[in-house]
Amino acid sequence: MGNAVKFIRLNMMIKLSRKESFIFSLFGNIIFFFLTYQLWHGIYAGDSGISSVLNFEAVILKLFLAMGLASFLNTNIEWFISRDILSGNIQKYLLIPEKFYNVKFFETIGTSICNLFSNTIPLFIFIFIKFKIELNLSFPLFLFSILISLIIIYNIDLIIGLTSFHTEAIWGISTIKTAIIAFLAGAVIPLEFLPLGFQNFLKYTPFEYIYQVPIKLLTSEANINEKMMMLLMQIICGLILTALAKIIFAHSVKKITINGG
Amino acid sequence: MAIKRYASIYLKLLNVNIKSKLEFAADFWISSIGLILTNLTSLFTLYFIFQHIPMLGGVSYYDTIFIFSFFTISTSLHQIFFDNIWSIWIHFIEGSFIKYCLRPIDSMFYYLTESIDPKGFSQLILGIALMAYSGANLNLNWSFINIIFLVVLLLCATSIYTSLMTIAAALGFWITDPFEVISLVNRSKDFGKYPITIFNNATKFIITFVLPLGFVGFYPSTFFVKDTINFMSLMTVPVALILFFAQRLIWKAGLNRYIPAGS
Repeated sequence: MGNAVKFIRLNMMIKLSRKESFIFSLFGNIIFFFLTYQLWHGIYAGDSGISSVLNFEAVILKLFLAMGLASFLNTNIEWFISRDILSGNIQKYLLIPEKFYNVKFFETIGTSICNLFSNTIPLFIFIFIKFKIELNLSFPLFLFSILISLIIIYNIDLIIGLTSFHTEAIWGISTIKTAIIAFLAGAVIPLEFLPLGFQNFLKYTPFEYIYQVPIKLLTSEANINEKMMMLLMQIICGLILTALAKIIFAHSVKKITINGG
Repeated sequence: MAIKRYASIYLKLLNVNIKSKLEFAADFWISSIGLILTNLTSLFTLYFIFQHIPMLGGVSYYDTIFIFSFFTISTSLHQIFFDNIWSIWIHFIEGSFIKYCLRPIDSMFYYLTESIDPKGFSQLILGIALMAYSGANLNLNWSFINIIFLVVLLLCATSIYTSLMTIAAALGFWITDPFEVISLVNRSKDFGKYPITIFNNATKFIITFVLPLGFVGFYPSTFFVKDTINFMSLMTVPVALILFFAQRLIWKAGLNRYIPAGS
């Protein structure tokens, strides 16, 4: 536990050392949310039956919650993992007592906490006030579910970072990941606008468990048993991905060759 | 004379750069797929939205696709030829930018042209295909003069976006790490790929006069979509010139006060 706190704190200090970046990041997100709001406002301005799919308030609520979660969960840790692999710095992590998997997870948490203050909290305050969301029993489930989402995303990022053992750059695969997750997890367009068959298919993929489960836990009118079942399925998804990432890491690490001396 | 010398240097840099990029063919293909997928998600979003509405801000589906394609082509040209802007923050932080100040050529030219990004060609092809598709459905008049206008306006739109990105990068001379500023301009560019008519007046003013991203997609596109010479589409040319000189001034001002980081 002591090591975890040290690694999280260290990563936060690095992120916060450049105040200008922090401010521009916040400003950039405000602009992006503003653009999204205006775009959908424009779409609904000449309503011609689009409200039958989802009304304007529901679109903004779902999109902003998904975008807020995306801001919180987007740590780009795969880039740092890739850099460690390509530069040979990974050997440094293999020689210390704390496991590589844990160190990178602690760094992810540190970055996420910074994201929380620069992106997510301002947006969530806006959402909670505008949509008058009550802090009932669903709220702790929502918070817990976000932590599971963080584990799911971390394992996906780790697997992508590990592809650096086979390629020279991860720009492409990381971009594919970002685009697919943003679209299929509902951070670009609410999933209700996609064809029904496709919506049903997505329920059986990990994309459902990244943003949609926390959002449903907070906003849906499902009873507590149904919500607990959603959470359970999300935990199972997190466990499967954790096992998968660890297996891939165990195989990949055998391929390490460090040049230089 | 200077232009001839810089053209010769550019061709040599291009040659070396293409050779180095082609060494990693797998990365090129994966990156190209990534870039196309990113654009397709925006395109699918528009498609699914237009399944439920006939017009977006008074603009039809094919008009919107045309604006989107114009925007995609102009930003692709930036991606191919000026993508090195994204790496400048590393040079500022590590102090390695000094290398660009010690050569007997213009530092801005040297830095911006040092690297090209071949994966941008995939996005360019997608943009051209979308323009052909939307143009065919709109029955656009592709006369010789219109094609000349298209090339000029595309180059101006690319220049506008590149100038804005260069100004963002040049702020690194003052704040050391300009990554988030560059990222901010990059994220804001999406204002240019939708019909500006959907935004309120304050936003229209900002993306026309303050951060003129409307000239990267929407305004120049109206020249072809409306098939009339309109004032705002022609303003793309002077805006490109003003921003080109503005970026030069800001870069030089920053360069004069640049002190490399590190020891």
